[in-house]
Amino acid sequence: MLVLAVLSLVLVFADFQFHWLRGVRSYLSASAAPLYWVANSPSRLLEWTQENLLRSESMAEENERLKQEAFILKGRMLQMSALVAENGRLRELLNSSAELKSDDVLIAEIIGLSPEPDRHIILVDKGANHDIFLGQPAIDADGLIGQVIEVSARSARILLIADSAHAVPVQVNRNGVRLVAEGTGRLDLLELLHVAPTTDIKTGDLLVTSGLGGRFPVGYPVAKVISVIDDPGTPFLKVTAEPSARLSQSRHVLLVFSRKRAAVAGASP
Amino acid sequence: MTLIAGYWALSLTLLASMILAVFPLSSQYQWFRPEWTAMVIIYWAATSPRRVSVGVAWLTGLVLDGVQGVTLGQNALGLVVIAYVANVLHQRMRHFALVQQACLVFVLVGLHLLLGYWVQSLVSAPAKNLYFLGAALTSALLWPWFEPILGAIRRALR
Repeated sequence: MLVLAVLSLVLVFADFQFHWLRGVRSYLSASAAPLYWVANSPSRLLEWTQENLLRSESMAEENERLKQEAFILKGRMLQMSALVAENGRLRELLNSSAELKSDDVLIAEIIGLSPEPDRHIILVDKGANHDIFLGQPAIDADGLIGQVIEVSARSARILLIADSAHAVPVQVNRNGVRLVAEGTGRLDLLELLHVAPTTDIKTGDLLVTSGLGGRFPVGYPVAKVISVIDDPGTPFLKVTAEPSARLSQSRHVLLVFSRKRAAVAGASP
Repeated sequence: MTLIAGYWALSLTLLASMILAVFPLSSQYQWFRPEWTAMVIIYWAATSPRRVSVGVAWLTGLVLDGVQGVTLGQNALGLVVIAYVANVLHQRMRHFALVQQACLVFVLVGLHLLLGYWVQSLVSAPAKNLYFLGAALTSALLWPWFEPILGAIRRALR
């Protein structure tokens, strides 16, 4: 018993301190994917029956709504292409080399959630076979979700921005102030670290990724500031923000392939 | 022959417990998810201590670590300790009433959770409250139903 207990502790250290066991881990999580599939099948079945049997009449309604939405989005795209062209011309005038290119994305389905209540990690159905790499950013339709922390052949684990072990460099969209947003362990709350009392930040400000640190691409929405508290007894402002992405509701995530992947692939999360 | 059949029951119950361990639950109930795998290990370690001892518990813990995606060794450590205690107490547990057994299960699962919590606090920031012990409570409350069901499975596959 003692031998095995000590061996477990050695494994714990080998795993988190030296990352020796990445290969073993990725095999283990690859074999875990079928378990998650089985565990999720009841909810999948329920969803399937709702979609196919119960909601046939509301289908037409939804179709209509989606058509309208697609129409509106197309209209916005027209404007967007004009803006991109204009932006390019202006940048040429300024002799600026920086370019805001759109990134490639790959859609992945969420197949499992971390069973631990205080960690926010999701398991998705794309892995090394689809060129997913360590540290890859993940977004949904509304904003940044998190980053890939473990890759196996056909699945990957994504650490959400709300996990208490996660922090992301952001800037205020209104004026470009750079900050760091840290997860709190609650899905609906982020905290901003080390905000000087003189910082120009107020409730309702949108925080976007700043691209500093080289892991996340620039310009994806992260969170919206919901409270700014100035406690004269503390050196910093206490600023909390609500993630833009629907962390607890999305069924799919988009994995972003930005052009800087070579630089970040080697770094550990 | 009976030996092989016994291993069937053991591996089937362990597999089922791991599926239940990652079964999707809404976040407010997650704190009270019973520690299914720990309960299965306690049952087998107490009823057939020669077949299921610390070695089986350790291997099970490693697989569970991989399945849950936690640090390798976290569940293994807890399961080894509780399998050892259940092995030592197996003759006493046989004479316990179900309610008494449930109390013991509360202590054992609580020990398992505390060890897991301790490993987690070594590795990363753990939760700052004692909600994680809720799982010990639900495990103990379910034990009076859980034990007869496992007993039935064991007899059916013998």
